[in-house]
Amino acid sequence: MADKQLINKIKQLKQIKPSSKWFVSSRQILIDKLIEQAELKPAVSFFDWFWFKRLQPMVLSAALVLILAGGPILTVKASQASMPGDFLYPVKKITEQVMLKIASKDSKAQMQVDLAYRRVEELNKITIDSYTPEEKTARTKEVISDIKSNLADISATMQNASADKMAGIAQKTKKIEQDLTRAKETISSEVKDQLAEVEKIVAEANNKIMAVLIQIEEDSNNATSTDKTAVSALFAPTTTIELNALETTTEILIKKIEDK
Amino acid sequence: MPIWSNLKKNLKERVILHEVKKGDSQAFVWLYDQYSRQIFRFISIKINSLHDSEDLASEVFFRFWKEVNSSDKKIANPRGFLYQIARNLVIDYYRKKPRADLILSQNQEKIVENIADHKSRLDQKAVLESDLNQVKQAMNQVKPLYQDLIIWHYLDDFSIKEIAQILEKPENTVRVQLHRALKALKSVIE
Repeated sequence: MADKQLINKIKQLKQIKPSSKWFVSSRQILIDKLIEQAELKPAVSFFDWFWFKRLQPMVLSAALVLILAGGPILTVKASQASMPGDFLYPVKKITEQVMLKIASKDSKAQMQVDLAYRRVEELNKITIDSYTPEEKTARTKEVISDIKSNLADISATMQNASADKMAGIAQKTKKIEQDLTRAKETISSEVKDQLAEVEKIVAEANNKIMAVLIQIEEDSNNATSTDKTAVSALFAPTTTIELNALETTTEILIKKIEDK
Repeated sequence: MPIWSNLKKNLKERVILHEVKKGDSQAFVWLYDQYSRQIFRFISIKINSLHDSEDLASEVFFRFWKEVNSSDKKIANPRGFLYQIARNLVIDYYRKKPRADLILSQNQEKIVENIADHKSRLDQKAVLESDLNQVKQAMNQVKPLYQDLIIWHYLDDFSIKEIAQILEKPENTVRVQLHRALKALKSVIE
């Protein structure tokens, strides 16, 4: 047997996992024992970040050191594996906010949308990971609230974006819209209203983007070939979903012409 | 970028350890959430009882808490320290249990059955169960140090350096022993 074959066999043992029942009950027993044992502050809630706030100056300094030493892109990459509820998740968000602050006007809207999409990816991961229902709901709430803040003033920032950036933004917001629709099927009813609010914000952002793109299309005689290619690529559907989006765009175009 | 992921990992664990030493139960719970599944897996590969594996895995964390809060012991690597405790508990377990109880029991099969339930097709279930049983039984037949090396390196993704720190041995020694461990396991399976 080759070593590679043996290692693959060994790696099958990764499937040995404890039951979720044991994981949760053992956790609770440990917490109860710790509280019983000494003058400890009780673990009130997994998402009680009070203790993190005590650490915040230390964590912020650490984040700044990482940013200055490693640069914005490397810093974000270093913490990108964190998930809502994880220890380094607030550090991840802090570094993202710093990156957003130092981004150029042209790339700010793209970055906002990229960060919102990152939250959506986290939401997708939360729905399939083996958290308890309570943990899932709490983490989902946090992520949805973050998506809202990421897209907060997107309409203002996208005014400064160039045409090829706009095409990228449009494609990303479409993807966000699609993923949120899929997520609606699996999230708990407690957070469905919040998700609906976010869907509305994304839909409004999409409409504004389309309006800007339509303007670019109308001015396409003066546009560079890059602009034209970017916009044409957006309007050339390759899937049913993109075709539906094009139909919506066509309706908007027709309405614009009728309104003139 | 390995340098940045290592920096992040070290920073995170040092902060957590700092908080655990101050008696912060939430930091400790974070540690539990991160590593309890791996610790359970480590123990259950080495002993043949699901129930005892669960008990020992819980005991690892309780001992960790006690050690960190009661002694001034310098702990460079919290994850490594958890595994050291797990190893010691398994050694004690074997010392206390009579030999007759250490054969493959129904409980061991239950561990494999739980995993197989994830697969919907019966033929996939059968193959998975058989492969896992084969590897697990083979692991039980190599010496404990070899079991540890294989689990740490191939299942828990410890680097040679990290394993050397846990075992307090030179990296080259660990490299050679890992190679021997694979060879020993291969000869059992074949």
